[in-house]
Amino acid sequence: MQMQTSMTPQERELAELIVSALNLELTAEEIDPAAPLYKEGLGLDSIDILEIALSVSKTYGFQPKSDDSDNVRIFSSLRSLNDHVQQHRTK
Amino acid sequence: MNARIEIPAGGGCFEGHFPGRPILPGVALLDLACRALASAGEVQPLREVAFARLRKPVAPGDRLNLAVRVADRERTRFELRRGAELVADAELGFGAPGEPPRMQYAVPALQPAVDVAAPLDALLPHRPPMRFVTSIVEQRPDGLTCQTCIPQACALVTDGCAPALAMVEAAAQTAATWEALRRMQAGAGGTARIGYLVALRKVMFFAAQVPADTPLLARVHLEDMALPLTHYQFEVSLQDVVLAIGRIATYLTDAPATE
Repeated sequence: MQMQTSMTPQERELAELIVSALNLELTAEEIDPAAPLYKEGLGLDSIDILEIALSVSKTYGFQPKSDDSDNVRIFSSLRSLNDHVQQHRTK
Repeated sequence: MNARIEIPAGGGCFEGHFPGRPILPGVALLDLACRALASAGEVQPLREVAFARLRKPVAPGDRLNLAVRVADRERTRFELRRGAELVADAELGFGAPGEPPRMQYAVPALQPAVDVAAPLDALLPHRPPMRFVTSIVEQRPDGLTCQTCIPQACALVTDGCAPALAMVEAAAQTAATWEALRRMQAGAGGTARIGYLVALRKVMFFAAQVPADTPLLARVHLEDMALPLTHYQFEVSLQDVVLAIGRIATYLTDAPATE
């Protein structure tokens, strides 16, 4: 059986931002912080990732670069995205 | 509920959208979905698009499957797939249109149109009868107002009227014009590039239909930009009555428009 790892309050806040930005059918609590955000996990496409980047920049005051070669790693899961946000946030 | 949607093999909405690169306009896809939903239940006008994500271009002859995920009195949430591939998903609200809000800005004088030293053909990849923008009325650093008109010959028109969704296309073309002007004035090359309407959010309609061959004022206002993705607020009005408001997102491709 697959165990879902528990979510920190910051991860939960970011998960809520993603659910609202993308009108996802699932709730923030249903996102597994360790699961991939891309196709095989949450099923997001490249425009969803751009939408998340836009919401992140409004909420956290920094712009994740769309051409960042690290993007695949940064957006690989809620947890890795949250680590990136906490490192770079200005608000 | 499930339904099949067969996309016509050509003509119709593919005419002028775009020459040499036929892509079904997102609003035409949503209109087909509304018709499929209506044929399965009571027919009510589309009043609201809570959200819609247009994920993949739809081509002539595509066969799509519509699957309703959630439906209650107020809203219907559905997915459109081509085989296993998710093409679009949306949440729509049906019912009698609400009372139009008051206009939030002064209507600019319609004449003369702004002279931008570039013909619309150079700014927009859309061609008649899918070209809705007829002139630029007001350019602002963060937006644009255009006079638009849904031609009688447009495939969305039946009995002299187009579904309210057509106003979203008028707004999307106004957004594409603003983007092309911005690039041209920044010296980034004046050739029209194909942009896709990729999302609609919180769109409210205050009329079920709009008349063809009638001037509509479409106003877009930049909300957020992280190219290739741009968010706009829009408003479409007939004379001084607001008929549609909401938000759209466009995705600018690198593909030049070709004849």
